[in-house]
Amino acid sequence: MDSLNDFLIQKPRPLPVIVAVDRSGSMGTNGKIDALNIALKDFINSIKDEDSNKAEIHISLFSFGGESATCDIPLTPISQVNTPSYQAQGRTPMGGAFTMLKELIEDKVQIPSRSYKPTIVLLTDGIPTDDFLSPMNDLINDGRSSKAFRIAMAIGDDADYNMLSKFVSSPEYLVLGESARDIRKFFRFVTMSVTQRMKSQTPDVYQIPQMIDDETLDF
Amino acid sequence: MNLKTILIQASIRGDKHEDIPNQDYVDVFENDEFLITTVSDGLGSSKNSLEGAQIACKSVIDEIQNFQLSSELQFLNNKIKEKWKKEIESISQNVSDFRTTNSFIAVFKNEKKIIVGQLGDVMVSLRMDGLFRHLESTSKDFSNETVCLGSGKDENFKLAMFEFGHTFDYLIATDGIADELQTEKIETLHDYFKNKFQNIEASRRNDSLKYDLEEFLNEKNNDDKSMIFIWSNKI
Repeated sequence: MDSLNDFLIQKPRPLPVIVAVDRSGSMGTNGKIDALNIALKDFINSIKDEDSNKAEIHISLFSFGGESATCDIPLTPISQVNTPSYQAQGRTPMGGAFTMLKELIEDKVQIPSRSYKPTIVLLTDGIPTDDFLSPMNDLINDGRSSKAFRIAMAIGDDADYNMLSKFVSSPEYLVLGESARDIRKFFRFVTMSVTQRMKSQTPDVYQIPQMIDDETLDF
Repeated sequence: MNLKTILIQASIRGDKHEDIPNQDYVDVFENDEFLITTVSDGLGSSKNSLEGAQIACKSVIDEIQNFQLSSELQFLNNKIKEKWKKEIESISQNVSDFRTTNSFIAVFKNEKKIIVGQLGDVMVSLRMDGLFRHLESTSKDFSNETVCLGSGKDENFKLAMFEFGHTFDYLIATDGIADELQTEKIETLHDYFKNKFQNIEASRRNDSLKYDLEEFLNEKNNDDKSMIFIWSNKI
């Protein structure tokens, strides 16, 4: 061993970003699922360009639709992530997603204590069709997962605003969207939020970026 | 007892906002009976945490000298906490502005005993007569989380007493260093420090250590970084 550097962990601290998106049948209307696929791709590509010696973004992507929630990308360094493309179908098993998110965050092998606090991003246009209350309460109130930053977007009038307002870390983190266009705005907001944390000298002190004006979006 | 030790120590400010000083504090006390080494990490979110860190080190040094080895270790925990709180309350009503962690190692030279105390995430690793121990502090969920003095909760020092025969060496390091270390290499790090610094002139050792911390750690971690490493010659 020639220098102190030989005894140091060579990877930056992980900054986990855990995304859970709705791919239920209703997301197939008014171009929402297409907007989501584009927004996710843009989001991943945007944060791939960020680089820091002090933090490395790790992404995990979950979705809920059909009959169950699925983990589509296990927690992975951002440089190795390929974005899936979703098709809308079935019900809204959001409770199943909450259970999976909690299992991931409680796992100290996947998210070591050296990590910064995770950010959870939730996007949905509907009401959960499975038992969501107990899994959500476990996620947001108990254990390690309760310390994650939680932000969410509710799209359209059918979304469960009451449930989502309880889910988010604070009221400012619930973004209300009217149309598919707002999905891309939301993910721009998420991108800014994540990159701001990554560049911050105190990534665990959360600051809320401003939502982007329509004019800044390039469709 | 004629206990000869070599000590290296350094404390550097992390790469953070200009108006925030280094909030770590390192203190060493030695006389014929005791060798007391203590490191505090003042919480960045508390405006007077450097003062809290200094007072924690002073409280440890004062109370260990008054401690009888025949007493329960819990008694030492209470005395240190009480002294720290009393000192803080004599200067301010807002104890939470002084929040700090603290770890210490106290060598009772004549009795050949070592007491280790940890409150928060200042790391301690200790090797006595060839037996290595990495003493985990309270487990934390994520980086920059810790229990501390002044939190408003009744946090306690995790205390342990050991006996040594011939030799010891130990490391106390704040999380700015500890979080970046490969756990499985910490014992080898002890050997590295001994081998490297015994060949450096005594007056230059601490500067050399400081240079290493600045060179290899500041680009990885914004926290302040402080450490003490001590090794004894064979008794």
